[in-house]
Amino acid sequence: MIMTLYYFNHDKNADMITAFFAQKGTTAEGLQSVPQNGDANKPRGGDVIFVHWLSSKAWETYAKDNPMVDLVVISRASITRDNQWPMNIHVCRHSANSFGDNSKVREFVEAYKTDNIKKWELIEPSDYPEELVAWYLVMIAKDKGIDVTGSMPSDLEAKAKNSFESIRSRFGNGNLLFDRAGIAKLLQCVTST
Amino acid sequence: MRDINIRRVANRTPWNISCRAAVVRGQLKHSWLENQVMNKSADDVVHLWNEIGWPALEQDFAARVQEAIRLAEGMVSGFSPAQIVDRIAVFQEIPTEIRDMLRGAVHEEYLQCTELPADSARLRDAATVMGEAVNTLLGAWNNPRTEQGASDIRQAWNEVLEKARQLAQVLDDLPRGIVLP
Repeated sequence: MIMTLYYFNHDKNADMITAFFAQKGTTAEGLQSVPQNGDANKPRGGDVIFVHWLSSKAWETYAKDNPMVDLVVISRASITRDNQWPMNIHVCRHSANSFGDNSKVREFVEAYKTDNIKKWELIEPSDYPEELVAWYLVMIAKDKGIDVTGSMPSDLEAKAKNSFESIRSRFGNGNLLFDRAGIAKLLQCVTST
Repeated sequence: MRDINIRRVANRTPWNISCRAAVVRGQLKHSWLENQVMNKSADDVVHLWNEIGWPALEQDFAARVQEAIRLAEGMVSGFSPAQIVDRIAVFQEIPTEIRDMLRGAVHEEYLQCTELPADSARLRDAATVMGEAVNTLLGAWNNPRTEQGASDIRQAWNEVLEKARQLAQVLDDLPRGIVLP
């Protein structure tokens, strides 16, 4: 079976992972976000995605929804496996030597050496609730005397509020109001996690 | 206590929304300092000097220092939420002049609460002293392969390591994505 190896990296010419695999001279191609259903280049069962860290909850959701795709998190030693992560998320430390410490990673590397892996690049996912961020920026502008709410789609506020309430319930912070100050506090909660 | 609260607000980066400045920060800290510099002891570097050479040091390190200085110089606009105005779909539907006003208002609010100008100065200073340490090492690199030469390399590398740790700490303090005011 030909396995596809995807990896998240800062860019295609940098970093340990690039250096490690660059010896093979394979071509890197980029995906722009966490793979979605319908993507032409969507990983399939048996494929592997290397990520630097789980910077987005979307990765965890992705791993749960795609149990046949393995995610390898290249983390610093201080980061340990979260018990809530599904079993197809693997962790190895952030140094070239640590590849060999992790049996799953060693298996991938061996497959790579035998040319059964095609290399891909996946850049950092930065999915975010766009409507909520948009509404927040509109509120900031309004406080500065620039009211653009009339130019916004009529359903933007409702969509932003839905996002707000969904995130608020995740953080168990039901006291926050859907206003600029409340959104700001919620954004701080998201930042801190 | 007040300072801590201000700091937290200034670095509000929910979802680490991607921007070029955050990518460069990551490259400098992880790809360069952690994976090329701070993972080497003086013995490792003496071995490279004596046996096999180190093209990355001779060809890349000075450019990395300059990249850090450029990041410092462009940092305030680099992490500004103004750039996200051009990415959000609903804002693409509004007239250009209104979008410009929105972008300006958001950037102005960000400037009022960000501490990035101070971080910029810290980064520029840390990168400059790192550059000086790298230059000292490069100066010793062509010395004759003698015990004295090895001693000079060792001393110069320990200085590079100290400055690299300081620079890495400054980079670690920077936002991981677009800052929302």
